[in-house]
Amino acid sequence: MLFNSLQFLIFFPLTTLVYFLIPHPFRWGWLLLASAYFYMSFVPVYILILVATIVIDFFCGILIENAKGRSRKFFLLVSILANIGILFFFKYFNFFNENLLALTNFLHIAYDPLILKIALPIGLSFHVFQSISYTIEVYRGRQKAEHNIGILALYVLFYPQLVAGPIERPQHLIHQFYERHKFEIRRILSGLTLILGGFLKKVVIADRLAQFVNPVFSNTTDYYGVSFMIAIIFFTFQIYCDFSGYCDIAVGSALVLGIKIMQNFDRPFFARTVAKFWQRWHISLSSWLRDYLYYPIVFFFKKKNSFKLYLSSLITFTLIGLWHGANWTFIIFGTLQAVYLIVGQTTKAFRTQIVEWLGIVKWPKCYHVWQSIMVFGLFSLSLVFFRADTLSDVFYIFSHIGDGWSLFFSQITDIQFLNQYVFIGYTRSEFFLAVFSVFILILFEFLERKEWVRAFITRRPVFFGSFTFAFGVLTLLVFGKFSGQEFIYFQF
Amino acid sequence: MASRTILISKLFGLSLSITGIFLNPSVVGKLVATDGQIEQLRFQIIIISFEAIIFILGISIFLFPEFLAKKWRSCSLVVLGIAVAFVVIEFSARIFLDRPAFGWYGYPSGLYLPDATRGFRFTPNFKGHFLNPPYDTIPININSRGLRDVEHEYEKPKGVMRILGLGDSVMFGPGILSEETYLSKLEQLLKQHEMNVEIIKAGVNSYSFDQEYIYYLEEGYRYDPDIVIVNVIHKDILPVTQEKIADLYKETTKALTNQEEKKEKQGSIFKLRLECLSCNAIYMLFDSLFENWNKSSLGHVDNWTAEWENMVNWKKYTEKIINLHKRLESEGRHLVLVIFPFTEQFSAVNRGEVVFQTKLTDFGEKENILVLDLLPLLNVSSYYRYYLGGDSVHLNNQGHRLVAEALKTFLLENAVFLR
Repeated sequence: MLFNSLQFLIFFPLTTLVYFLIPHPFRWGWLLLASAYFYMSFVPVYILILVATIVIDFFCGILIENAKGRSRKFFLLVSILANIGILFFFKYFNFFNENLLALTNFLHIAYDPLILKIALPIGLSFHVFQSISYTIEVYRGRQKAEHNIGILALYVLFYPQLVAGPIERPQHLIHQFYERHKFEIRRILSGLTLILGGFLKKVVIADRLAQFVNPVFSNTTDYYGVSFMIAIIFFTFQIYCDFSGYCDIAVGSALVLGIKIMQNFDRPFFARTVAKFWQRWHISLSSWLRDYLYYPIVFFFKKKNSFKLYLSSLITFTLIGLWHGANWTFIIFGTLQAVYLIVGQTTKAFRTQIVEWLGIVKWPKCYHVWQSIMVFGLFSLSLVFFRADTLSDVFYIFSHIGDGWSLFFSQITDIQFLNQYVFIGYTRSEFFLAVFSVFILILFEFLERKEWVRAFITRRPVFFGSFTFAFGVLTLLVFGKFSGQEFIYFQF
Repeated sequence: MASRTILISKLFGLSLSITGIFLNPSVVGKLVATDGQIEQLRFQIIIISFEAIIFILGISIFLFPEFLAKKWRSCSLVVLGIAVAFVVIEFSARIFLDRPAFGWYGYPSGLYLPDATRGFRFTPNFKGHFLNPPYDTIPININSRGLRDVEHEYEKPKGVMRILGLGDSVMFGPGILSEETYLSKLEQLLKQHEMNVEIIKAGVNSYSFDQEYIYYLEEGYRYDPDIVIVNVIHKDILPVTQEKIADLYKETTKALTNQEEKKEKQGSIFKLRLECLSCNAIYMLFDSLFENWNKSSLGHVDNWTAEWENMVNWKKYTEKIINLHKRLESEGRHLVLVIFPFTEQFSAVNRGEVVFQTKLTDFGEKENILVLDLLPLLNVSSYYRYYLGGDSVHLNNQGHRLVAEALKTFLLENAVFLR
């Protein structure tokens, strides 16, 4: 069931209504049932994978809590290996085998690979990471082992964040399932506003931008540099609106039920360094890897130096890339982030000198905008690896991104040329609407630097609130692209 | 004063709930629908939902009038906010959305004459226009031999290569000028190629392959064409029996005696969609949601796939094509089949529902008949740029141009002119 589907339009109010109508002790059970139904609407049989991980983690959690000494570590390892094993089997087995085959071919060794013909369970990477965080937190003593398997199951299956995060921590989420949540109009309206904002990002902006992005990345040889440039910039905004839109709907849906889940994005395009960018982009994943991978690696090195810190960053970001998908394009995407970070750190003093020499620091606001544009540009270029189907497509795009610019400037008034290479086959008004919607998004995020727009609206007179809400709903209905496009992060 | 406000609130609530009861599909149908009733389930559901909301709102105000009496200013501001939002959205829609072109083209009366062998044919020398906006300025001019084409003598001029197009409305070109149809464009393109070519455009609305074949046997051959292009669409698989011909004959005779203009009456919903772009966008959204819901709940049933997989149909159809092919070969002419897809197929292509195209191209290869499949050409993400608004079969002038270019390349690549 997609958030942007007719089924969800029925599922969500029905689940919420029953949730508030039934007595508190039954609510978690109802949520678990609804979440299982939500997950099973994709591929029903895959719920068994989740059941397996839940049962393993449930017993491992209790055993870790009760055990002492090295056996605690043993049970933690059992849990991690079970979860990672499932992830590896479904997501990375074929990739591993294909690369092994390439290697054996290169070494002239006969190898007959086994290729599995199975579909990747939806959102597997998300709930595997969420499950792992439970046993690690129990091991670290920050979370008590859960003795109600139903609550633990709900922690993994909770439908708003089941298939694409945010990846929650047990100490933040589990206790909320035990708490009594009242039917509060103000909170529900706040949740609904978040949901509306999420839908606007997904259906009005992301799916509109996708129209221009998809043809270019699917038929790279048919386009010139200007089309590549448009597709790359549009894709950066598309993926942001698609994923943060999903997260807003997830956070809003949970908020309506009275459950608070973490925000996954914090105006990332206003970040002025790559390091800051990753503190604002997919926060739940980057903080997960920071806490459970980066810090342990850093602490593993007894004598720390810059090289070892950079190595830790490289490993962490490469795994961020691999987490996204079993493809070299994703691995390079992740590695590139580490390269940006390392180059940024090593050249910091040199760059500061240049900035001072140029005197740009006299205009700090201009300098900040310039820094944000640079981070945006670097991230957009790395996203070519993320979006392209193959490495050869990536190389084609980078080697032809400079082509056709003279043609573009000479034929800028030729409507046929513009239609084909700038508007990518769509109407001019559709293109300008896409650009305008991106502009509005940036403006909104700029205004949110001091205060959330939602909070601002609620302090205005009732006319302003009703106008904004009605305007949002009507924008969704009139300008939305309801083509049933899946969220990009569902595939992970 | 307070009791007066409460009384007004109660009366308002009562009138609102009564309005809710009266705003049922039957009354709304009489007010806005062309034929006085709303039959489509989707509209009935929408109207009943609004009816329920208004009724519940009215009853709530009637039962708890104090709320409205106290908060009437806030309530008015909420309503005003919604109204202003709608105005702003309509203003934005006029900036960013294109004015839609939709509706049935509408054919003028007197366009058809009954025909004993084909059921009907175009009336020679007929002059008229399509009936409904935005197509009502486009002329339909039929020549003296009953074709939407310029005049052609039967005798082929010396040194001229003749192509005869046999087809239905896709070839005829509803909603576009005669000069914009793909055969007219092809003629222009070939002439630009310095080829002395003349194309006879014998596309007749609603014709099926059987009627096209009869046309060739009765009249088409007289033009002495070098190439015969047959325009194939999904429905051509269905045989046109003698009974069907007789029915068509009767229907055309009856329509001719009635002489009644079947101009589409434009209901209020239609007019509202034309005037209010945001209303049209919302209408289109609900329409597509219902359409998707129908498909997902009933399963996407492509009836035409079943028809093309029906062995009896297929055998009869291929026999007729082979007969035409043999006949043309014996007369020293070439046969080219051009397959037009329908847009519902585009979403189905990924699921392998291209039986119609696959079967015909395989058959063409086996029987050495040239087949041009237009599905790959038209199945692009922006396919709607090539179709008339709201139409799944008929192309607009851009679509016809695209097909003409593809057909020219196909004919030249296959050296049909040199054979």
